[in-house]
Amino acid sequence: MITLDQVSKSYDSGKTFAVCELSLEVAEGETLALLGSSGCGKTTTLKMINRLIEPSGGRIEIDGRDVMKQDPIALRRRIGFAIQHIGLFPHMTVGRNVAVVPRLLGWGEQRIADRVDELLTMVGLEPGEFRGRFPSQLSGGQCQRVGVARALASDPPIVLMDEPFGALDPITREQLQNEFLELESEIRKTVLFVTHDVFEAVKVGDRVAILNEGRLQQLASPRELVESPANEFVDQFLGRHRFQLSLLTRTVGSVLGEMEIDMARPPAERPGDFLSVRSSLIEALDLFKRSGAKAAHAYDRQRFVGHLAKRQLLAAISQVLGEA
Amino acid sequence: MTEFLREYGWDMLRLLGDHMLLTFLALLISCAIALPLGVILARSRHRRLAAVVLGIANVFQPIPSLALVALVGVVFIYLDLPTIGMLPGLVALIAYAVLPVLRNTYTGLRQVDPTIIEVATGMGMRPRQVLFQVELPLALPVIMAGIRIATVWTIGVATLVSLIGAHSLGDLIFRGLSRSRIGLVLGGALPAVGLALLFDWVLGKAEKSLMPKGMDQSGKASGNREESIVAASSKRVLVVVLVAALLIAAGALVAWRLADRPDVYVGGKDFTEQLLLGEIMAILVEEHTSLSVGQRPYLGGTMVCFNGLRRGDLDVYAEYTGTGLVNILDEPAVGDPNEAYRTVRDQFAAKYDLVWLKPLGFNNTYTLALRRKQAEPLGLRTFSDLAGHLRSGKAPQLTAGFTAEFLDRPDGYKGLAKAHDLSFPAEPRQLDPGLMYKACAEGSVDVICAFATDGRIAAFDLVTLEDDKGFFPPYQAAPLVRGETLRKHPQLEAVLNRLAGRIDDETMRSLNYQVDRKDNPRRARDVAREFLRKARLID
Repeated sequence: MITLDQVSKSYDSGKTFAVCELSLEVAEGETLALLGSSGCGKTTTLKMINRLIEPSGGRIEIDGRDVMKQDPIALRRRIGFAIQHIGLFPHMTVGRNVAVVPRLLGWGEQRIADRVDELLTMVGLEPGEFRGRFPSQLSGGQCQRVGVARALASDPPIVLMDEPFGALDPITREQLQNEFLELESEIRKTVLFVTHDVFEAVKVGDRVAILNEGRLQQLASPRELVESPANEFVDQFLGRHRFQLSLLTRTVGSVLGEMEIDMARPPAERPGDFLSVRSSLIEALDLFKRSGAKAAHAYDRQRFVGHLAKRQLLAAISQVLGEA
Repeated sequence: MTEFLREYGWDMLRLLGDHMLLTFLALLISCAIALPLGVILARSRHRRLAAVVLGIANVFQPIPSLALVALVGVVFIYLDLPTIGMLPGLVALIAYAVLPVLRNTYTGLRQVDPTIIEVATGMGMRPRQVLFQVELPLALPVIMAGIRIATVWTIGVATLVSLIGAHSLGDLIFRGLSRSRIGLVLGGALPAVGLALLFDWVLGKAEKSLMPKGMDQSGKASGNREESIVAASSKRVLVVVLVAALLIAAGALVAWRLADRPDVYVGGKDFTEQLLLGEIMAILVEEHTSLSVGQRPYLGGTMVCFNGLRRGDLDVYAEYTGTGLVNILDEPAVGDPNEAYRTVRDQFAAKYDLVWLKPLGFNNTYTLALRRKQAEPLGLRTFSDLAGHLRSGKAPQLTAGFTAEFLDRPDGYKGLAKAHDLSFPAEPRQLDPGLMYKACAEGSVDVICAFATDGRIAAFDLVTLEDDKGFFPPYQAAPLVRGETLRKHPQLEAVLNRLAGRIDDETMRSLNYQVDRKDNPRRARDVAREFLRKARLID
């Protein structure tokens, strides 16, 4: 658990603030999206947690311990860190990049090697093919996967991610976001995820904290944020994409939860086209458009949870339309 | 070619070794200074500090390398350090080589993407780990480029430190230049060029083996995890062992060189006459005493020799009274040779504890020269004879050709014309010193200026006129010895004074000629020995 209590950062001894009296909590296993336009203080907030930046005031605690009273080196080695411009070391192989923190922690060679292979597999890179490659030989998406694997290398309970998918093309980004959600639902890390993209924030965040000029504007679940903005700024920030965002913040799971679940006839194998309970209504629409089917299978990871009928989906969308 | 190699091959090999040693040590020490300094500067928060230090290092760069070599000599006098030999040469080279290494280390480190450094820090690397695992590997190509620049520069500048008595291939080059022997110049210059190419190639190889593979866009994907880890560390061990071995070898060589100080160092400036006088004095001392004698020939000018003598880097060299008076004591020239000699003898003893022994006999001053075939029928023996002939207007009408310096100096042609009422019907032509003697011999001009003992006077069958009014200040040569050396080895005085009055203008000219002549030039040592034998100064 990460707790920020009245945290401020000023670079000119109090005349202006990059971050001003920010208080929030990231619960164990939660993904909190820090959302705002550039210069709003979201990256500063992130870097204060692993002490790349020292706060000017307030208190930051991890599991109840003040970070300022801890050795910054040891602190950082317990926190996963991934950033936007990939930040892979160009002079190290993929394997060496992923192994950086385990090496710093002094793991044995065999344990490191096993862990590297395990992580590469986890992020969808075949270890035999990729571990000996250099970053210059990877695509942007592959680099980001390595970046995520590296952040998770020592299995840290907390992961800080600063726009990790920011430099990718939209298709690759969406793919990586989905993979991240799948991964996160498995490994349940406490994640602080910085982004300027409202779609990404509502998609990956269990909750979203929206910042402006260093001050917290609203901290809420994606759905609450979209449906009841706390102030003018949040309202402006969500802008004209309100309806789209509403569809994005509602998951297949929430629709199924409200409906009567048809548990009949689970298929023997997970089909190629399926919905996750975490898929948004937009993705569900996409799937129906693509497949032309009347109903789709819904899964929570490998577990079949039921069928979602096209008719049910459209009803849910009509309801959102009515609200908006 | 084969003859050249037989004569100078051994010298070339020895000097090549000296050159490599000098270059290697200078580079090693420069790196030892510049690499840590560059790291400190690049990581310092005080940007201004970096600007100041790089500024200071930059100051050395526009100083012409020759001037820097001289500057080190001057600074070393104040620090009371040796001004002749390997140490000042090494320091001059280091002063030169530090900058490119320092600048490239600094720039290389500053060029590393700050995001990469932040990630490394954010992952929990200590500053030292960030430096060694991330910053330095990424800056390596730039740093290596700096070292390669420094190497090529150092090899070039190392030829110049010959002038302060640090042995290098420059010894051959300067010997060749002063004697117009292109073969010798090439014998020094070509190996230096080869050396530069070789060192650059070796460093290129080293760079490639040290270079992180990912930096090389063509780096092949290798699926073998062990390979990248093990190979890197064994390579590093190899490099460390290699550097350590070279270091020990170089250290031993330097220690051996420094421990090898002979009882008496005989020096000389960078022209043939000085080389000969050095050989003559050295052979004489070797033959008549039990002292060990070392030679430091071809030093870059009067001040290098004089300062070396004061410091004790030399014990004796031949100096000229006029030079002592004007260049060292900064006094006006004196016409009377005896008065000039007395003045320098007394003042040098009082001021510097340096002893002028008895003059050798010749007077290497400016004079005028003509073709023997022309001067003798006209009966021209003195400056006054010449002035008289010119005033009489009789045939033949003589023409003159002088060097730019002689035309320009107030104590050159202008003063001479006034003192001897000398005027040529046509304005004297300005001639290149290298071509002047030939021009006279071939009859393009009739009268030229010359140094009285120049070997070419004999070579071209010219005669010199006597300065019967004593217009040109005397430049009598005499051994100049450290007082301390004489007290330690009192026998030196009597031995060197055996040369008193034994070398007149004619003799010196002939000795110079034998070394300088184009056809079948002889080695200075052989010429010196032969002279001493004929003069019955040695057996």
